[in-house]
Amino acid sequence: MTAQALSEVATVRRMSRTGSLLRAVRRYPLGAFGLIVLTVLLAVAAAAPLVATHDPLATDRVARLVGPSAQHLMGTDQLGRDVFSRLVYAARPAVIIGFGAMLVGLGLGGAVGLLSGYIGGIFDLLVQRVTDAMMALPNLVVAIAIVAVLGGGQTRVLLAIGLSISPLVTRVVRASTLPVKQNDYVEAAMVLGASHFRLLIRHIVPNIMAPIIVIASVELSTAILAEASLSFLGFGVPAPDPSWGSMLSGDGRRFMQQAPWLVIFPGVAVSLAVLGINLLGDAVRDAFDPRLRGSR
Amino acid sequence: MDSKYWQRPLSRRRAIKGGAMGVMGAGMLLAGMGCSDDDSPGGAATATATAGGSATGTETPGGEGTRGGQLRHALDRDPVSFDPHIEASFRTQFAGVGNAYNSLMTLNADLQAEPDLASEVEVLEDGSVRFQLHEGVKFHDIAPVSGRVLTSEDVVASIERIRTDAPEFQRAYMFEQITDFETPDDRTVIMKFAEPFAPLFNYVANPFSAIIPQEALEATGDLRQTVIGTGPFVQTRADMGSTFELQRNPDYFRADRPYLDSIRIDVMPDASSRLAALRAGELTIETRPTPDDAMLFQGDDKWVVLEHSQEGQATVRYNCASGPFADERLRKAFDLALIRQENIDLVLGGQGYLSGPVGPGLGDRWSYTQQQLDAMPGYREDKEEDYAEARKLLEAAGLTEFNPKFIYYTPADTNETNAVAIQQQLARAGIGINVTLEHLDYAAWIPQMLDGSFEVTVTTSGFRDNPDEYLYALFATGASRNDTGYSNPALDDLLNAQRLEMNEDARSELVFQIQDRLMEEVPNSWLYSAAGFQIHSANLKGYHATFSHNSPRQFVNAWLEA
Repeated sequence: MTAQALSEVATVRRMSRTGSLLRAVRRYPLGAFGLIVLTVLLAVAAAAPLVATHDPLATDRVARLVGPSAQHLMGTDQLGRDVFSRLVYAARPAVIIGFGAMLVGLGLGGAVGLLSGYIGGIFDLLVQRVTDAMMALPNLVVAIAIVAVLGGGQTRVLLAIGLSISPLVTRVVRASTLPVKQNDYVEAAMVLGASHFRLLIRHIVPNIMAPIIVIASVELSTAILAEASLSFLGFGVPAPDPSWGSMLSGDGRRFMQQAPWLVIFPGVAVSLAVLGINLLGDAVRDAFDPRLRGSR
Repeated sequence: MDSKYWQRPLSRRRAIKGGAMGVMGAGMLLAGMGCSDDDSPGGAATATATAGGSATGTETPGGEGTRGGQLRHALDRDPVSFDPHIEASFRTQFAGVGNAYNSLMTLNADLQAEPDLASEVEVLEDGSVRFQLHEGVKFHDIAPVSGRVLTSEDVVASIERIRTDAPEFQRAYMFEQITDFETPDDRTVIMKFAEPFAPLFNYVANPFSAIIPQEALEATGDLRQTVIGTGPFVQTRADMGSTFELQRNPDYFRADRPYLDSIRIDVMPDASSRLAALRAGELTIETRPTPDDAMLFQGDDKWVVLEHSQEGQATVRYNCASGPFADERLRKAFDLALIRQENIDLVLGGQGYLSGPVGPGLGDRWSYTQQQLDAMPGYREDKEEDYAEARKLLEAAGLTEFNPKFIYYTPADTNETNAVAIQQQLARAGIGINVTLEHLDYAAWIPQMLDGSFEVTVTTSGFRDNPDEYLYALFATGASRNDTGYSNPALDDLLNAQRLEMNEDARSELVFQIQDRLMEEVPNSWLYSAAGFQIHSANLKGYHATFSHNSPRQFVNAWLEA
């Protein structure tokens, strides 16, 4: 093949990828919006020092509770700290705890669900009853109980939220494993002498990735919301580091009437992040659902 | 006093003057002990201080009040217990003790000690003090006391219990100077002293110096859950975490009091919820709003916003006994980097006062003036000299970097705000001190304070109505409230001397000598004293604001206008 022909093929592929993306955006506009929100969230968290206009911890007694202005885009709090900069830096714990907790939840809940579905029998029965018990309690209550035992701080909060969201993952992964393990190709691999580990990793997990990806997007928004809730309740990121939840509690609630910007901006940030991730999750679910795939 | 006094805008000078009068009034009463050549202006004397060394019971001008109604109040959390001789929190006072018990004397809103259960107080020739009890004072009609009459033996047993030498009795220092008691009859108590004791009347009038019935104590072993007093209200409900209720005592010894039928106190941890409930008419009064919150209610004729100077001190406390802050140089370096006015501005919206060891609410006789403090190292606006001195101190201690662990507890909002502000002040100072903040629950904070494992912390302590409580109780070697482990034998001598000095001028001089030493050795860094605010609905009448521990007792004269 000549160089010109190779170039034409590459162009066609590029156009094909661009076309696919545009088709996906047209097909799932809300999902595209969610993807933009998630991208912006990740970018802001990664580049917080470049985006923030002030030191998020620096107090200023002269600029206490000042409204939004060119100097302070989203005003200042009781300690004269720049709300915009704190909001930007607060994206970091939201992202770190959100993704971290999601991974903990997926790892723990996924492993337990996979084994529960694969092994079956009395083991499955016991695991599912424990899962039932944990699911009977709201995520936040479980997370608060775990933080109360482990103590506060970013890592512990991450673990607490991850543990609290794992039962749902267990349930979804188990439900997906049950039909897959009865497929002929799994039984064939078993007959050929494949180990349990190989069966799980090479034959079952790849075939249950679709529901795992969907549940991951759902759990990501749950984890971000749980982080904000825990910080709101005083169990999350410790002072003076900012988090959206702690910005909403404390000063935010105390000065809500005289300085509404203290609750409006963090409230919008939490809502937008959760909305965006949920919309993205819905789009991913739709994309993976064969019943919906040709319906648009 | 001008009836609008409490409704005028805050003036630092006026508020401090108000506090000063009360202690001077108590001092005048002490003049009757025959040990004083005090020539304080007579204007400060009140009906409680008569020239002959005796005082008679005074009644708040009555007759104008209206009977009936329920006063509703809310606390941020439960009291730990109801034992008046052990607890030290305003929550204990509001949820029961403050209105269910009486003391021999009581502090009015101007901090003047007035006779309460005592109808007469007399200083005898030998320096003993005789308290004559009102006739026919009855305890509440609750078993096992069942409405029996108060006797002088109850008074002796109560004072003896307060001065029990055990860690939980934090106010033993109040009555340790009493050498003996005499009870010539059921209505007379004589307290004997080897030497005169200057703060006696303040301590007798303290809201925690409650007179309890002996058999209630014997029946339960302690008074943590039992509330049986002689006070104007009877505790009828104590649901921890929920509601406390007190009903009017029909047998109260002042027949025309109280006006209110009942007081209900709900537990509402969230300050915004309390303010919302107040606005919605579900509460009658909020007694601990922040200055910023209080400002939101000012100018609206549906509310009365009261302010006073009798509020607690915010202090940085160093562990002087062990750890890095046992080195005085490190304490001083830390102290010099602080910017007190910034804390006042950030935490209180500017509504507070600089404070030395004795809070400014006691007035210039006992406390440094604001002008004096403004010029002191660590307090002055120009920080460069302070920072240079702090660097020298660190260098002398062999340190270029110092990273102490700074603990604080919540839910007290001001602790966290103060801690964050101090962390930033130290970072900005660039002297090499950087603190690591550690937030604890109160239940985790207290053990570190008690076992001396903390390094440095910030806390706010309640208002004290006399200098002895600011000084002796906190800094005397081994004193029951000395949680910093500070000890200085030379200062102990001065602390004891001021307790025994009946001449107010001479005592004041001793008090300032003590404060000068404390400012030099810095066992604490005194940040500020807050302006106290209270908000109540305009139909609550006859109520005067005072410091948190003493405020519940003012409900006896309050009524609700239809």
